[in-house]
Amino acid sequence: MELQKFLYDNRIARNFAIATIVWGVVGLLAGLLVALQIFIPSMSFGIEFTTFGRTRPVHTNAVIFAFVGNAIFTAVYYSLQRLLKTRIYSQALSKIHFWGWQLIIIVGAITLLSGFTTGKEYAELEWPIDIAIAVVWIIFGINMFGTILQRRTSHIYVAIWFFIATWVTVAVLHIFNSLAVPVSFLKSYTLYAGVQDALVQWWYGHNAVAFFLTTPYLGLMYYFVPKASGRPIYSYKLSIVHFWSLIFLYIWAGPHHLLYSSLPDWLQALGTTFSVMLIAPSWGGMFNGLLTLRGAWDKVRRDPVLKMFVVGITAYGMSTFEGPMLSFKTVNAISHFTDWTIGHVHIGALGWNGMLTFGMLYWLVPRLYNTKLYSTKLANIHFWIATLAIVFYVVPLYIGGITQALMWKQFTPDGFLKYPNFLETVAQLIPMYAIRAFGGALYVIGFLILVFNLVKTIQAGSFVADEEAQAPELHPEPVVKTSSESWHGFLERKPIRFLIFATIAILIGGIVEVIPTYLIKSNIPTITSVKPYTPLELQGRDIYVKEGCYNCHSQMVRPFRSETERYGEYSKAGESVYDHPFQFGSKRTGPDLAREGVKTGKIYKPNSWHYNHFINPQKLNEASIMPKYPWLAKKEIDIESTPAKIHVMKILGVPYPDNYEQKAIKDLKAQADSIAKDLKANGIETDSNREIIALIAYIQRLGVDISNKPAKK
Amino acid sequence: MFKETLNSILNVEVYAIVGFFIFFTFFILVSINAWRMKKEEVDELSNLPFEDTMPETGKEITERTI
Repeated sequence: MELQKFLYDNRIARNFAIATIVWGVVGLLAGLLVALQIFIPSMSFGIEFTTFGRTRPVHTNAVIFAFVGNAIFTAVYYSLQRLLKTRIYSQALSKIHFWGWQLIIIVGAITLLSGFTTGKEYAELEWPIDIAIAVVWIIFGINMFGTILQRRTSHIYVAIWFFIATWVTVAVLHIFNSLAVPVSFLKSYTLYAGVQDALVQWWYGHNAVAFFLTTPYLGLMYYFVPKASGRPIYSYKLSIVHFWSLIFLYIWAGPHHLLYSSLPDWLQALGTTFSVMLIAPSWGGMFNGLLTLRGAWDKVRRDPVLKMFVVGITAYGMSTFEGPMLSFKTVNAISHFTDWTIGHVHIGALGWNGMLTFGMLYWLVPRLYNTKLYSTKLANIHFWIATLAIVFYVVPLYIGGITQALMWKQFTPDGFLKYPNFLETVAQLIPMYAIRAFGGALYVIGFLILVFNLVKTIQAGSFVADEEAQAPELHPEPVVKTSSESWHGFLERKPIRFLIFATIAILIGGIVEVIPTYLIKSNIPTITSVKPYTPLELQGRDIYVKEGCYNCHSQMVRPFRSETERYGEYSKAGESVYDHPFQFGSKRTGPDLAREGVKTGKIYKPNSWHYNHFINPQKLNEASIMPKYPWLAKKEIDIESTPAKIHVMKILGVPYPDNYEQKAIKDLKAQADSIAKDLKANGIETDSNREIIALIAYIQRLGVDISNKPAKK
Repeated sequence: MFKETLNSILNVEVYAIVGFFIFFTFFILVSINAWRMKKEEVDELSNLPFEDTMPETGKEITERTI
């Protein structure tokens, strides 16, 4: 058989590897900053651009889409060529993909720090950037499938199945979750409202974890673990069952993020059921990865790359066991809204994604530069520091999360909340936050050791831009299944058919869950007393979203006595039908705000209290960890944008009266004047056109509709 | 605990059972197909990542010195 000579393009893998390292430093440092800001409010520096509500999304986006995203592309571009025995389809598309992605990251970081956000977790970027992401993702897909179609191998290996599933699912999730109507160049309102928005968002959010942080990394595992250990994957048969089960089941699990919320019960049931079922394929993957190293454990002892892979895969197993446990309603009742969830997420992020990325880089960079790793000893030191860092990071969050949840739920023998002041529960967490930050700092130090080690490796080597390779030409293959091959073996020869099957598998869950929520009216019962926001409240809501208040405050009172005693009436689906986007939140670093505006409620505060609290929370309570928002009293409301905002809301189905756009500014000013007058009566002089006035108006509206009694007929 | 949890969910008998049914049908079909794969085919596919390595020397075909 005649061998054909060709060249692997290492430039694109090298570029993405360097970007992974650079954005890793940025994302981890941003993480360390937010870990400090959460218990030292002065670390927000009183500047809007560096305040927790804006820096936290920068951290999550930088780590997920910049650090992990670039690592995914490194793995794909390196392994794809070698598994398919061909050069990457287009060097030009590779360049557009690389620079397009880096530009998106930079623009994303700038806009998030500037307060341009959709307010949807892990999908905060505004609509022009969303379009850019979709375009670059499609370019990536063309380059990937172009490479697959020009391959010299008959079958596509399991790693590539995971890359295909990643590509199609991320495209579907991103496009549907990002559907929005623009108000201006960097402002839009999502197409969905309230509970429906929450369902779509967590369908996206959960599957971003599944198909951005998990499936591509399983592809990475299936290629790099065998390569680094010199042993084939433990069970190819298990990988088939693992792959199809995982991609089919994962997509159903999103509603477990909304247990005990106003989401319809049948959806919560499906979320729980499929989350529990997910243990099986997840652990199938974990065992397949770990057992690949059977007979090579002596090598694991010596090789830092394999050590990192072992810890990474073990972390995957821990995280995918814990996830389904947290999906049980009884466990979720304790864990949700607490730091337990943050700990859970970071087992996956620091352990699974971090360790696999480090292992891949230590294995790959010396090969790209045709040299040896500068220091195996430093890599071992990095391994131990990172492993210890994960422990220091996660354990205090588990302790803190469970402690806080139990304190929230604790009653006295007389039937009153034992800790009615939310801040009492926060005070218990401060030492845990400090230890967590120490763990985060250790992880950063470990990563800086990696940077040093790899820079020295690069300096010692010589980059192999085009790597020579040879393989026999792929002769035309039978178009039908042969008698000697299995059905799946046949499917592995047909990448487009494979893509179609994978697409069907990932669409079933989404269709069953999302479509009935829209079509069956009884899923979201309307409440007649719930009315659209006034123009000032709408502007205030946009400021609430802009400042990222949802990062620390929920707006979802769950139907527990401990919550209704603390906050008031539990939340209903019909309350949020005009909320574009929903603001249920996922974490309570501060108290829930869903009933904040109810005058006869349990947590009502006057306008003057809110004013002083926004300016300097520590002045009202020394123990508060909320950052200061002094600029809210200085910046003016963007009044001119009001008609456009009302217009878009009407397009989205919010029932404002006809031609209300023309009257909106007048109403806004009248309501703002009344709040300014009330503040003046309480000794606070401020102009009525300041952002703080709009935010107060919005906060004072929360929960009001549901507390209003219906008018007598 | 499981019984109480499941009983408290409205319509669980319809949606969860349909979900289970779809998945297990799919799961069983895939498992049977994987189970019936021949050893030679499985071995060949498992070794795909190593095909840029010459089997007799262990040295990679590409010009590497490490």
